[in-house]
Amino acid sequence: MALGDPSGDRELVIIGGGPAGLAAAIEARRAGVQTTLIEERETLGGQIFKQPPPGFLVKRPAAMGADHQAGRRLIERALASGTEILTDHVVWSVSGGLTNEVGVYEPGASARTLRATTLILATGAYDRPVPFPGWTLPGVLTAGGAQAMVKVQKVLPGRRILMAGSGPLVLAFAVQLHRLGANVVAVLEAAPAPDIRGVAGLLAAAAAGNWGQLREGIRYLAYLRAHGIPLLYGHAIARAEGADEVERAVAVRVDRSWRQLPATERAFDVDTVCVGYGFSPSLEIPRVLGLALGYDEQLGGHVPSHDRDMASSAPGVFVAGAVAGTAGGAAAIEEGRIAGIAAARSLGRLTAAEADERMAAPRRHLSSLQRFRRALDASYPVGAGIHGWAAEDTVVCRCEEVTKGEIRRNILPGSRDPNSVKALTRAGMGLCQGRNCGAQLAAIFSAETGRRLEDLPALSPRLPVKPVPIGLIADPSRTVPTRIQKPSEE
Amino acid sequence: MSAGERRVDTHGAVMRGSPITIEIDGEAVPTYLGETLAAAMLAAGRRVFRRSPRTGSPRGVYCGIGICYECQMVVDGRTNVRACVTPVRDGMRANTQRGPAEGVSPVPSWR
Repeated sequence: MALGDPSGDRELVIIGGGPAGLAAAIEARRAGVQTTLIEERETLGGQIFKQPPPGFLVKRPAAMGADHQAGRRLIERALASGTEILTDHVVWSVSGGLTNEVGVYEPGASARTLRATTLILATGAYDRPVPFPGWTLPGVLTAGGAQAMVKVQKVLPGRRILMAGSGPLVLAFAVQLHRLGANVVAVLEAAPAPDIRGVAGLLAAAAAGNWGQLREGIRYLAYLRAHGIPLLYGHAIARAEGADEVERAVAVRVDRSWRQLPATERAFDVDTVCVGYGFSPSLEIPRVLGLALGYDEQLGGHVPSHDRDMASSAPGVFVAGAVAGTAGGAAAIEEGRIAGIAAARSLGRLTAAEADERMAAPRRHLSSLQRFRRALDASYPVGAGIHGWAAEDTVVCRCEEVTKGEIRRNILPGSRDPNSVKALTRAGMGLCQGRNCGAQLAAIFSAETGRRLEDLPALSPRLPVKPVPIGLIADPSRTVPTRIQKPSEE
Repeated sequence: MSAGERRVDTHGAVMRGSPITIEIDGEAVPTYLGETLAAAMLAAGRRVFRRSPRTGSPRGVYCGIGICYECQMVVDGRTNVRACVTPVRDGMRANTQRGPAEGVSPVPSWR
């Protein structure tokens, strides 16, 4: 093993084995592109199409649900496509330029560097971290984490559950948990009940080929009503309380911009709080590559900018799926297909005309899906108040245990951006690399300095993007180039 | 959390792996091959996975998908192991992780 041994050149490396990555691989291979796909987990499918773990045996696939079957089909097509698939491989570094270098390691095995002419980043997203008092107590889980626990591991995260969040996924998940035997005590929806304009927008979007999605949403509402599970519009989580784990939770009314209204609290006797306020794109690799980012609160904050062919601001680097702010497996698949075709075209494997022809169908489907998404976003806009739910003594940086008050006090008159607070407080320096606190750190900075969130830079990326055992990447035979080293003459 | 079965009845749609036993903080805990250490913990009603280094506060599964590093435990002597992405093995020994609460410098205050 040596970091400097490039184990061969590849035309395309795809990072991420969820719906977007798999669909990209299938299209790239169809065009004859030599393709490698890297997935951190043992199983393919990403979060949406997450498959049962090795060791579990599926007896009746039909009873596993539509997601499982759609995922299974996609995975089988990718496996049969001739793509080199590296599961259980962690990407810890990337660098761009004429060729892209991707540092991967296999836990417990070895590290190596892959060189790729083109890259597709399909690194997904994670639940938007929302700090509120008590959010570090065991028993507070993200909706996505709780769903993985139930759907894949078949273990309930708790007995009496309060769902808090916004959007149709929160409904879907509450119903799913209840069907599996959990006592869902209530569902808090931060947005107000859809008004007539919202309903009209959804109906129009549904008429454009999305009736299935609307019907599903209506079924969830009916299920909650039939089982006496209250759905509280305009309510959000205020805090979770307990000694060593959640023993009760308190909800609070919020206004249209999700600001908490005083004296409207309501306590629930629960042992678990599931929190689902949308997703944040996984940006470690886009940031290290220096991709241009846009800011859209609805998409979880910073999102890599891309054109309609999913090309990022860096030549030869494409993005697809949840990392690009996309919601849902179906849209991720179409974006993955477009990115795979676009990569093939940039490698000269497809002519512009061939690529256009192959992109036509995914583009049509994608634009129909996006229409429904826009209608949903109009009914469930993320309120700016969400950034203000932490109290002074709420731990914002979970890793380094830095409170909101400590962060506020370390925003000095000359502080230029959140990175200066990171340096003073260590907030954002822990193992999670600021994934959990970066957005809140920026929000506190924005509130204190009056600078707009969209104008603040994201926390500077640092390698490794994922913790890596140092023995795996340290190579005593290599000298580390530094800035003071003189260029050697060849 | 109250006692009771936390494993979901899958009505034969999917079968768990072979039943095995692991040791958590010295106690024998039954689990199944294919489960993660986090699933085995939650199924056993255990929700405190570690104590934080600075304040000793309890932490457990938060993101559940391997990105937040909250569910770290000591597994077979290795520290900082994320329970939510670590499959159980027969005879695995896991311990609640207790970080160094002493010797950690406090966050400075500049004003």
